[in-house]
Amino acid sequence: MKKYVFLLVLGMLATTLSVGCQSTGKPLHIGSKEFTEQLVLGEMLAQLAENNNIPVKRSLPYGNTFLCSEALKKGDLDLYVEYNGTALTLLGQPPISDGDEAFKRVKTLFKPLGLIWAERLGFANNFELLMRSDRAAALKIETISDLAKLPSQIRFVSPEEWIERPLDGLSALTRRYGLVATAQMANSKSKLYHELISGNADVAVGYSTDGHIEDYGLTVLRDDLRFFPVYEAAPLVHLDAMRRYPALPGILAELANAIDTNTMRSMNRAVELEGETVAAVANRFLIETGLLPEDAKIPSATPKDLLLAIGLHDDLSGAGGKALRASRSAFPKRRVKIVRHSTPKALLTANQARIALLGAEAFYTVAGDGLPIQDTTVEALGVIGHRMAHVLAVTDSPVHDIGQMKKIGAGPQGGASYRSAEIVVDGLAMGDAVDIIAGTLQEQVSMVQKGQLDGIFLMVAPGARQVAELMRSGNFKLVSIDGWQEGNALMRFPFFRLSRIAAGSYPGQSTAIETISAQTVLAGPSPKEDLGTGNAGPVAVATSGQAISDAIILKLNASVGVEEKIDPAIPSAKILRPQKEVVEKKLQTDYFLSGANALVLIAVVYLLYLFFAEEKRRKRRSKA
Amino acid sequence: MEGVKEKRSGRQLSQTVFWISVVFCGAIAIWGIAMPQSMTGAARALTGFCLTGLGWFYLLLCTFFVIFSGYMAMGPYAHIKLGQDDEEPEFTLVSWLAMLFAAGMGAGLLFWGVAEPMFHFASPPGMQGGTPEAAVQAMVITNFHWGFHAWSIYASAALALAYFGFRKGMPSLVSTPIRAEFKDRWKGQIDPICHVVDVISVLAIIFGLAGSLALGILQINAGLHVVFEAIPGGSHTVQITLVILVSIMFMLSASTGLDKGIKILSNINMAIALLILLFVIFLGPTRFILEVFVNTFGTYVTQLFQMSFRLFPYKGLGEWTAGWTLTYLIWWVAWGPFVGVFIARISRGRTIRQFILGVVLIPTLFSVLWFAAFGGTAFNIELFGAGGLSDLIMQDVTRALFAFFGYFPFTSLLNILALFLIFVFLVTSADSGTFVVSMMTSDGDLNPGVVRKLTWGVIIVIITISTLLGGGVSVAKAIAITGAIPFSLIMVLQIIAFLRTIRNDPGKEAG
Repeated sequence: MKKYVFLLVLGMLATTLSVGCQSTGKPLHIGSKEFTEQLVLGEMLAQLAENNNIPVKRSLPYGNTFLCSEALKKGDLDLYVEYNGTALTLLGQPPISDGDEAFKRVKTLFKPLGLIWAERLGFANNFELLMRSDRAAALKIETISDLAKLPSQIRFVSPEEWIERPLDGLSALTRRYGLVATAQMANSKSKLYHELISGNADVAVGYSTDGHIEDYGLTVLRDDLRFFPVYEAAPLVHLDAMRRYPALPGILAELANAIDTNTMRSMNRAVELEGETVAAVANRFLIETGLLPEDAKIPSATPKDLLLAIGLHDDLSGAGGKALRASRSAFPKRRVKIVRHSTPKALLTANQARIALLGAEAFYTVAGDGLPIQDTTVEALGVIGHRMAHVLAVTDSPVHDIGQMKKIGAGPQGGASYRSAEIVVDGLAMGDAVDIIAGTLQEQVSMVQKGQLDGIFLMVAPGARQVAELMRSGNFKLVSIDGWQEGNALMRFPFFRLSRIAAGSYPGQSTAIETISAQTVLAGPSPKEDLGTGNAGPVAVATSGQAISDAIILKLNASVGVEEKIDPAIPSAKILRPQKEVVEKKLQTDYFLSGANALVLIAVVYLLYLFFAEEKRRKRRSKA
Repeated sequence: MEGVKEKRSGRQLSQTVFWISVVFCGAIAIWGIAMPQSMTGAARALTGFCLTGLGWFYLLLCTFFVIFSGYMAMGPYAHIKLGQDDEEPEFTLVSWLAMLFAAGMGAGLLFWGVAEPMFHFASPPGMQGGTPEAAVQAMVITNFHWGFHAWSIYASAALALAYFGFRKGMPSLVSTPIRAEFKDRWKGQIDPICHVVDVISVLAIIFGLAGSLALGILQINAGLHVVFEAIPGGSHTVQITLVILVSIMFMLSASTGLDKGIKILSNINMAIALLILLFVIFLGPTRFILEVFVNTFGTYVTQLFQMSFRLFPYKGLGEWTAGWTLTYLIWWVAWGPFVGVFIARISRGRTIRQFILGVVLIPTLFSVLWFAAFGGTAFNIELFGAGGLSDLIMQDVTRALFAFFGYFPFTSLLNILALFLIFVFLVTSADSGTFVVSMMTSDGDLNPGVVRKLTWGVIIVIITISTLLGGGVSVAKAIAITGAIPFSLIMVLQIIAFLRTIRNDPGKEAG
């Protein structure tokens, strides 16, 4: 008996020890910095680790460079992607422009801290100072030193982290180059480029892997004094983690030189400019390069994604980006994905998109000569900006006003431009002789040049890329919309306001152009009212998408940051409209309701009577 | 001679009820397809009016059913058997409890298990949503809708039927207690009154069933789209195909005596449902779920009295109450005779006390556990986890369950199992519903003819399809409630008849 007990205890001890020794309990804690590239790389590492059955804890993002590096040193993080240039500055070392040299140096320096550099990923993401090409050309600025030519204080816009970095940040740069500068910070890429393009900043500090540089045709200022070190990316991992997960070094080795600058740039672009999710982009790259098997594919739009529908011409660095940012902050726990469509409202009413970026004209349908019909299935939740009607004709055309046109191209059928064109043509009473043609922008541009169309009508934000490109080419001019204030157009279509495109807004535009503009808003489904039960109840909610809750609407408004209220001509959410309490002086008697209640009370009394009534005598009844 | 005369009038009786019901159902179905707007408008106006204007009465009524059940379980009639005095219970205790579980489980729990707690969490009446307090209140409200009140309604409906059916040996019709007790008082008019009662009961069941079937089909459609992206969500074609599939299955069972097959399917269903429940409990946040279960049970029982009478007159939340609480309670009343018949059938030989305790307590406990598992996990996800579930549910409630499973491992397996479950539940409900309605229109015949069953099967299918195509579920709800509103008064009449009869029962305890 004693022998068996002894064996049992021994067995239990052995089991406990072996279980304890495995120490597979603690997951691999992967962190990242706060910008897109870091999120994508961190996500890639996480997916690779999970594919190798390593449990992962994601902190994407964990914090800025300082937070990440401190956490790694302490052991709160196990792994994140760092850049050799940044690492040198973290240790107070002078910048090294030779990538290999720099890498060797950081490896030696970090080893005693217990931190291991895995092989470089294959691209460098350097800080670039960017300017709008037209300004740079006008002032003949090609290098950073040339910035001294700017007349007054140089206005920088950059990520917050760069302003704070002591060795390669704002103050170090201005001291090295002898510049006088102020800086505003942009917490997102789209805001950064928006500030630069709109002229609020002279110089933007971007990354060489940003897709925006090419998209906007920006000038990269040459670092003539070789101030910035080169920043090559490589995973930085704690030695303990390598020991805990023997598969880890192999995984990290697979990524050596796997990503080149163009690939990284296109991945960044996919997330920032095309609104794809970080996980999907990382996943796609890993599957395409064979690092993950086919069946590890993440489905493209899981039901948890919140779809924001925007128009085909909505720029992600402008209105589209603002809408995206607002949606992300209003729905913090859902993945917000952009879906482009010629009629975003259709997606909204079909409950496929949760919110949409709509112009004022989307809420109305033209109906004969009277007032247009308002659509009450959607409501506006917050103002994003404005769109203006841009009517373009070829430069040497005799037309200077839309009223002279007979064939107008207006983008895809049902889109914002098309509907606005319909409304304008109707409002100006241009008659049935005018044809509005649907088609893609490229098609219509060539049709105009061939003379098949008199002009193109585009309802886009002021400064939109499409118009700017066409104007820059020199083949087109803007024509005005005259006469909107005559007749009853203003009455019938109050959401179109008279506006003017200032002279010089576009290259080659020397005079101010009269036009109309409309608000662009974020819209959601409006609550469907059921008689008596309002919008509540199991049936009401089961059969239609619920309107966006009040709390979220207020958050949306707060994060959009536009002070303007929604145009009263656009149907908006109840909570945004000022409520007026109507107080009746006398008590209102609803006779029907009182009658019904009286009937019910009588019925109840009768039933009680039935209960308490005496038994009818049964003597009389005698069945044969 | 008398006997023959009775039989002939018996057959005529059943034909009257049958034909009137068919005509009514047919008329409303045709009206619904031909002019959905006007039928929708009429039905919704009526129900909106009743629910908001007479809400106080309905809440009081349903609370009355709870009190009545309690009284029957504890009062002087507690030991009266639902059968002859010397009868033993037809089923063993364990089988009986298992069958009660099965009666309590339905597609509704699957549909609303995640969605309802989340809805009330996001917008609770009279307080701020999204907070832990809202979470507690949400669970209480949900269990208020699905717990004691619902099962007391069914128990009350079943009690009268079981008493008159098994102890007095009378046909199982809704009008039986009324006929038995009031035939002297209302001599001449007793037949028309009983016809009206039976027709209204039939209508209540048919439309309540159509509404529930429609909701179930919508959910399957959404689920199919989630699992197989090729199948479009919210598509009428898919929905009609599903209805036809369901109807083929249940009509096969109804007509060929393949109900053995349905019984097996139903047992498999129960097993799968329990499996999923255990899966959620043990692979989800187990400790959190069990804590929510215990906490909810306590707060629910504590607040039961208060909630039974709560109407928010000062906060003007009449619409909320009408939309949620009263809609549910009246919908349960519409299902009363249907579920009641089944509960009655399996409870032969039980004493009234056993009956009430079993019928009210067991399914309620199960519901509390179910909502604690599903709703509780959903709260855990919202408050402490990845989140994003509550707004997703607001966007499309039919996807709630499937989105919820997305947070678990083996998502696809769970989704497919859930789809299978819902489908089989719809088939069994439709099967039972057809049976009960056929029985009620065949003068209480416990084996109604095949032709009758098929006729009702076809009618239910047509009404469900017209609901899906025409005004949607809100129309079905409106009609179900329109049928249930007069039916609630009938139930009271039944109970009065029952109480008057039972006080002369020799089994009644003195004092």
